Amino acid sequence: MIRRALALTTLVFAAVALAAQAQNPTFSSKIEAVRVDVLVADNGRPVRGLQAADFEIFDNGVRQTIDLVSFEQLPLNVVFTFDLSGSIVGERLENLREAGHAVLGGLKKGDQGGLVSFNDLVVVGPDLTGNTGLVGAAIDRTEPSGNTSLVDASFAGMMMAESDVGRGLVIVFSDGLDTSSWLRARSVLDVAKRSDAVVYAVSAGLASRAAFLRDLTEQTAGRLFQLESTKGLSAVFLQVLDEFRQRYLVSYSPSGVSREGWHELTVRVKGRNATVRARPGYLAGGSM
Amino acid sequence: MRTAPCAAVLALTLATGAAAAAPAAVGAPPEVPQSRQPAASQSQAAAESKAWMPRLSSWLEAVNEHRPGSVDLPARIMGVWTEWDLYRVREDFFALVALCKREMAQSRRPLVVVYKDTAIAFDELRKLLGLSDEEAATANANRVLLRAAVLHGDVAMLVIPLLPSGAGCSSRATVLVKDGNNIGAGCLGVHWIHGRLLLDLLKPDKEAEATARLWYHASMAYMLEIGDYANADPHIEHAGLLYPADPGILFEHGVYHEGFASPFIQTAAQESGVDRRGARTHLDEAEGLFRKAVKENPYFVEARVHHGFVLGQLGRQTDAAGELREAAETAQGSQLRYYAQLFLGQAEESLGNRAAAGDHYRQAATLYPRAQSPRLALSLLAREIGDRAGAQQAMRQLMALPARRVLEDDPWFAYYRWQNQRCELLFGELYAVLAGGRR
Repeated sequence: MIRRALALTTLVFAAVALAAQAQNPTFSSKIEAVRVDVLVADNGRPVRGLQAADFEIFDNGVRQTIDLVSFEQLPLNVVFTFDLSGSIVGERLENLREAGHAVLGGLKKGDQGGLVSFNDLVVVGPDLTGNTGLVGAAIDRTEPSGNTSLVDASFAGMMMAESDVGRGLVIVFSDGLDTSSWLRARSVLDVAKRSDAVVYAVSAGLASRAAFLRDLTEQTAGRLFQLESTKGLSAVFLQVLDEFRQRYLVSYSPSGVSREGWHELTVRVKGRNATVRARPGYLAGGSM
Repeated sequence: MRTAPCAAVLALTLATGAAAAAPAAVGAPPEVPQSRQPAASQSQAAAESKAWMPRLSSWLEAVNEHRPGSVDLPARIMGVWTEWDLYRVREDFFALVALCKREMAQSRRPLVVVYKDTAIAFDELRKLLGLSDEEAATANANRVLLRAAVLHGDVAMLVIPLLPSGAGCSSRATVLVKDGNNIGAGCLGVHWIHGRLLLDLLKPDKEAEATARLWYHASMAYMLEIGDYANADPHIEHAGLLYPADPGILFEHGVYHEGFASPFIQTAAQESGVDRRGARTHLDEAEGLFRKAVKENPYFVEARVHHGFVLGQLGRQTDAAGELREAAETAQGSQLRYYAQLFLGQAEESLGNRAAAGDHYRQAATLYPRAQSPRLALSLLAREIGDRAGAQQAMRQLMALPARRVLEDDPWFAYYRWQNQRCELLFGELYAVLAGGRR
């Protein structure tokens, strides 16, 4: 996929990660540096200004040394994953397009956008690009029809988000019901456990239909919004973008833990009674 | 000659409540308005005594004059008949055919018979029913019954869709589903019910039975093709009772349950409360039916592919892989081979045989170079083993596919309907049988 020139901050991060790999050769091919996107909130408000020393991270109960904490330093890779099946028509479609443009308008220099649209077919593209006009035009061109390959498209969205070293944010919009995917939901959820991308989802359907999206957002430490109407969709999308920008990216090189299997993660902030949202763990062993 | 409209599915219909048990003989009387309740009064009985002959006469005329597969006048006339009209005509026809037999058994040439207070010359009655002497003596109305079943199938397929909603409706409601959402209400079609009940009265006869089977095969294919699961439900149950060892019927019955287990239908079915059985129950049913179909005909590769896929969905991956390997070796035609390779890839993946899974996905991608499913599977397979580069490479191949792809590029999207491709062929064959005078 298209890779743009890396920002200086990204280079710094990559260098640290590589250095970490060199120091821990046992993990070099299997478990690389682990990146955890963390949202810290106090009374519902994001807490800013935390440093590496403020965090504690436990990998399968083993305390880890944090290599890096970054905040608003890495550019974002925002991947829209939009349901364009036959049920997304009229006002819903208009609201969706507007919300997409609202997020594109909120991107900063260095950020990138990309689009995965789906009905039965998953159409991947435009790939991640700093040219938001290109993505916006693609959003405007979309025409809904057919069934819903939500699971397939969610996977494609995560793959696009992690195709570049920036921070991957996947925004999935759907009525929540998969009717035609080939990939199995549990397989994609397994991949989500290995992915650095954070998935936020907006479901315009019934709550009972959103099981997959609920699991997907939980596994990636994102969030699921369930809306009865799409009238306020732009506001929700902007809230997602804002919340994602308030997140810390915590990085560490695992030590004292097995290479294989599920690693449960616990992230805390020292000396604060803050709410911490981070992915519940990750799968290792030919994983990551 | 027009053929049946075996068109692409736009929406599907699901029956509300349990499937209707197929009643014997003329069938249970339909619900009718108070004003038309049978034998409610002497005046109504008198009215019926005047009505039965013109009704029977115009039905038999329509049966004889209808050109199979066409929207002709006889078919249009039948299109406006109600469930009650059809019940009555069935009742009269069966009663009179039985009367003919009884009279001929008592006297070779009865002069007059009396039915519903109407006296009618026997020869005139036999002529009205369109029966030869031999047919009348044995109450063998097979020829008429087969033609009538085809007429009413044609009415259901070709005429009813042209009429205002509510035409051709029984008293049983259905729901209309699109992309998993309930989008309206429909009904069970009376003409399919009528067709089944007519064929139930066939006298044992090899040719007639073969034609009746063909009628069931063709109409099932049509119903599944257009996504009419509501009418398919009693139809396939009925066919299954009549032909319990027919591999084709077993297969179609399996396809019905397999389709019903798909997310496309399940969510809407559960939410609307029209089906509480759940996907697992339908998959179990489908597995048993496909297994029997393959047992009856070991060369039935298509049934084997479906059996393998359903086994995989039931979590019986070793059995699935075995069945699909055999299918992959013998499958003819790119689409069936594609399914076999794609499903075998999934079974091997589930068994942890990732290299083999990758091989099968690649073979599927070779058969259909524009298909997205095997490429997504290859990307996921690579990502599962931590091969990010491999995962991205497969995604790049997906991106390189033409922007304007169509569903036909990936047979996966047609999987639940593909077997119905024979719909038009089957109807063509059925119509040819009638045109050729074979029964």
